Amino acid sequence: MQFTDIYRRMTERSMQEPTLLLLTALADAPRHGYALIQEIAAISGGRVRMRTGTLYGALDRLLQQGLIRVESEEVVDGRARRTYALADAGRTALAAEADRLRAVVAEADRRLTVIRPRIKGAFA
Amino acid sequence: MTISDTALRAALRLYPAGYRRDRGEELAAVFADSTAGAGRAGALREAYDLGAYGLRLRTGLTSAGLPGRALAMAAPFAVGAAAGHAGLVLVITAFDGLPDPRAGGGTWLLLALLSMLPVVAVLGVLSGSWKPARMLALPAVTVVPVVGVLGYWAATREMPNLSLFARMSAFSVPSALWGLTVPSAPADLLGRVTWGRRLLVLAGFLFGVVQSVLPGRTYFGTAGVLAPLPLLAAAVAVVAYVGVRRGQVLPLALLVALAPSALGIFVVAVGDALGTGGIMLPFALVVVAGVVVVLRLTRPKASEVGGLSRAAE
Repeated sequence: MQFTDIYRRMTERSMQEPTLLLLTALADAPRHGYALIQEIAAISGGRVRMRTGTLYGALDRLLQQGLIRVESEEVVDGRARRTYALADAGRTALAAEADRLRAVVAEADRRLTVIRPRIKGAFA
Repeated sequence: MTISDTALRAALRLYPAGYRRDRGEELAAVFADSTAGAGRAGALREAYDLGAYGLRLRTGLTSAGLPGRALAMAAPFAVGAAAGHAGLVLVITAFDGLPDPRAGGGTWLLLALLSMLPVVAVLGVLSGSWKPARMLALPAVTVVPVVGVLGYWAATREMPNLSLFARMSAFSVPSALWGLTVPSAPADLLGRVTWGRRLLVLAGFLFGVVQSVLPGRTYFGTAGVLAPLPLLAAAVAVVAYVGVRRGQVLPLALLVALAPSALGIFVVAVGDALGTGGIMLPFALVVVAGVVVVLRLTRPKASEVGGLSRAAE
């Protein structure tokens, strides 16, 4: 394993939240810029409200990484609209991250189940 | 024309022409939808964010670019080093002057509060949030020379002359550059503060303390103890150049982490060698070098815009 890989694993074990939210927002259907902002707000329960500059910074990075692609370009009501879709690499990356998160949640549940009876027993 | 239109036009003007041609209408459409009914403050916040990304595109500090990724990788170390360099040393300097009972209490209180800014930033990161570091970095960097002058005034009741002020400012070069690393790094790459990142923050803090306390305790004298550091930074610069040619991030991140220290020592050491007023020369050299780097970075990057267009096809 190269030093770069060790450093990356040490500092960046999981997908960044904006990336995860964007890929999740595109998982079921292609969407345009403003629809992505709305979808991300809905997925995060209103916690993340992505602004235009931040959104396009993330979109440009994901385009360059090949995780998303431009599905179509059209003019709606006189406004330019570009629709983005998940690329195959993005679908694979999202599935891998979902597996990783699922494993963490399962482990958290298991440990909570082990400790709950002990807590109950202590107060019995 | 509404304030929203004016803000949008100003923000779009910050984008490279190629990108603006390619995406300008799309950005304007999303901006219009996002700010519909948001009020003046909401529109200005949105325009600020939009303009900030334009500046990132111009300087190559996007999360897709090598410099942006290097800054994000170096950010945990830098935020720690800035706190170690500025915060601790300024607190020590402040306490050094305390024995003088005639020193104004209000000045010392202000000194202590300002010195705490980098420390608050580093505590924020250690507790899992980058927000304090991003918000406080710029004010912390700006006030460091002011704090130095206030400290001098509180201890001696005299204002420092131009040469001494330049020397104080030169001493704060590493802290300033480290402090600027955090807001310059793309926010979406800073991500969660993992234990690995916390360790890097602590390593940076120790480095900042060691690098600054020794010359600081000798009243901004030459850093003979750390003389190999500029040599080490020069070696890292060569490795970084080779790394950048190969598209590797880590060597550039190492350079970002170590260069401020080497620059600070270079400025103070050359100033000492040249005599009392000589500090201005290396200080000017660093400023000129910074301007040249910024001008080179802000040249439109046809390849980057073309790359994005190709990726979008």
